[in-house]
Order: sequence, then C-alpha cells, then structure tokens
Amino acid sequence: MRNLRLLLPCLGLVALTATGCFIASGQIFVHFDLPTPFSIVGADGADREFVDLNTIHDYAKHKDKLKDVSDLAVVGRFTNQGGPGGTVSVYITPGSTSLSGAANVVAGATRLWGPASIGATGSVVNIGWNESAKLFDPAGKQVLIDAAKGDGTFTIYTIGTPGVVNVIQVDNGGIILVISAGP
Amino acid sequence: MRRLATGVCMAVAVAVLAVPAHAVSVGIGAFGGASFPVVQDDNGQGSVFGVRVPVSVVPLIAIEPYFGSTHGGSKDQTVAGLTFTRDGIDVTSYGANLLLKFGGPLQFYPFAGMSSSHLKRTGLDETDTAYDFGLGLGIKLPLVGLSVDGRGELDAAVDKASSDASRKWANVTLGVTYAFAKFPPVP
Repeated sequence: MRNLRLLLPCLGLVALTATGCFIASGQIFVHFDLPTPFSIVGADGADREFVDLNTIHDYAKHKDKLKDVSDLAVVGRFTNQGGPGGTVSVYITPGSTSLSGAANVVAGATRLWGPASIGATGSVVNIGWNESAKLFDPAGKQVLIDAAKGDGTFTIYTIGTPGVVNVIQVDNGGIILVISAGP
Repeated sequence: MRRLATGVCMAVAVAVLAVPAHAVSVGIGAFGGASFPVVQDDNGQGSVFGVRVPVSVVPLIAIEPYFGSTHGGSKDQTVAGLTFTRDGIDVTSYGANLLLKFGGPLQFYPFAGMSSSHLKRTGLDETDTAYDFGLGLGIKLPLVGLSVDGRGELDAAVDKASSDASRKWANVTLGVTYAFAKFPPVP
C-alpha cells in the first residue's frame, strides 16, 4: 500500500510532463485601440489601419510564449451619419498592405469579421465583445491568428456595403485578443 | 467522448472484477461550490455542481466517475475608453477520478483524474480533454453510509489547438455521498 501512496503524484507528474506542462499557461487579454473616430465614406469607402501588435506591452511580453489565440473581437460604436442603411465588414491581410477602395479590399483581402447591419441615417449599433464573437469569419480569423503567432503585424480594412452611398463613423473601436501563453 | 465514457466504465468494471478479496462499495453523491478561473483574463468566477459515483475497490482506493457542470461568470475589460463584457465559459464534464484515501471516520485523500470537457459560450464551442487533481477531506457521519466532504482541486482543459496551453479553474466544493451498495468478499 505504501507504493500506492506514490501512485497518484507520479501519475500526475507523468501526465504533466507528457503534455508539455500545460499547467503553466494562461489566457492574457491584449487590445489594440483603433483611431477614434474614423469614418467609412461613400459607395467605395474603406478605412485602412496597420496593426503592429508588438507595440502592445502585454503582447510583446508574451509573444515568445504564445501558443494560441483563444478569443478575439472587433468592438466599437458604429453610427450612420448619412445615407441608407447597409453593412460594415472588416477585412485583413498579413503584414502591411495598401489596398484602396472597397472593391479592391474585397478582392485582395480576407474577410475577418462581419457583415454587421446598420440602419439608415442616425442609426447607432454598438458591437460588444459577445456580439462580435458571432461575426467572425473562420478564414480571416486564421489569418489573424497566424499573424499574431508570426511577426505580429497585419492590416485591417473596414468597409461599408459596396454600391451604397453613406457615411459610417466608428467610435471607440478596438481589436481584442486573448492569447494563450505558456512556457 | 463515447470512447472516454466506455473507457471509464471498463476501468471501473475491471477494477471491481480484479479485486475480489475486498468488499466493494458503491455510492452516489452530489457536490457544489465555487469555481475560480486561473489566469483567464476573459472569464469570471462562477459556480460548479455535479454528481459522483464513488466505487471503493480496495480499502485505500476509490474510482469515481462524475459529471460536473460549471457556470462561468462574465468578465469586464476596458477597450478604447469603453468597458466591454464577455460572457463566462460554461463547462460540462464527464470523467473519472482516482482517490487515494487515508484515515477512518475522518478521511484525507489526494485525487487525480481526467475528463471530457465541453466548453461553451458565444463564439466558443469545443470539447477538450481535461485533467484534474486536488485534495479532499471527508467525514463519515454516524448515519449508515452517509459522508460529507470538502475538496479543493485544479482543473485544466487542454487547448485543442496547442497541447502546451490550457484553461484552468480552481474549484472549491462541498459534497455529500451515500454509499448504497456493498458487495461481500468472494471466498
């Protein structure tokens, strides 16, 4: 029976060793603030934002230990300042790119998020963390995860509905990442 | 999930059949308590409850299949001057623990086990393999077959995308168990 008393601790240690000591990992919240406000103007409007996660302290601190991206979101308050209702979508490319116009963005980038619907002039849509989680496109999400696990840079484009002339202002916009980091 | 359940059932059956020299007791218990996420910036404190079926196969060892349900609390974070709330993660687990029991009416026992855990919230719906270990303190009540226990344990659900990462919870629970069946030793 004395040997049995060592059984559980030994089994535990074997399990921890065999699985790469996952116990020491954690989920770290990092966020990138978008300029506030910014606007998407016109039928072919697109807003470009280069994101360098290395400028975020918590990301830079844990980058070498990054194992996965556990959660992500695009949040903010979207206001239609003039024009018919439509949608807002976010596209992504790895690294730094310069696509101009919604049509080129749709053709040359990968959809990350959306479309989120917005009503006609005066309509305000608040996209929170939970609401945003429903709107991710798996292909774009993978581009973002690869970028986060890579050099930490990517470019996002926010576009309205191609062909619909309106002005959508985005306030307090941000990108949320929850990274899994461990030894 | 089905494979894990089958494995647990087979392990219990083999353990029961392989140790005929001792009395085997089977019980059923319920537990509940608090669940604290460990280094999870996107998940809040919640509650946990469940049922256990302890099977004592030899005097010191019990195998305990269990079902557990954790309701995670929401978590607030501030982005660009606004506070955003993320729903907590709900976890449903089916698994088994191995308990090493010491003592008489007052029992002390380290334990460890594994489970299939389903993590769910908006934007998250995945089943992971989870490991747990902890310490328990149990008291056998004067009432026949009844005991109460308190446990502290660490649960770790291993990330499907990276086996080097996991979500972890520290659970503190109270439980009550009724041993309803005992099988006499086989001569």
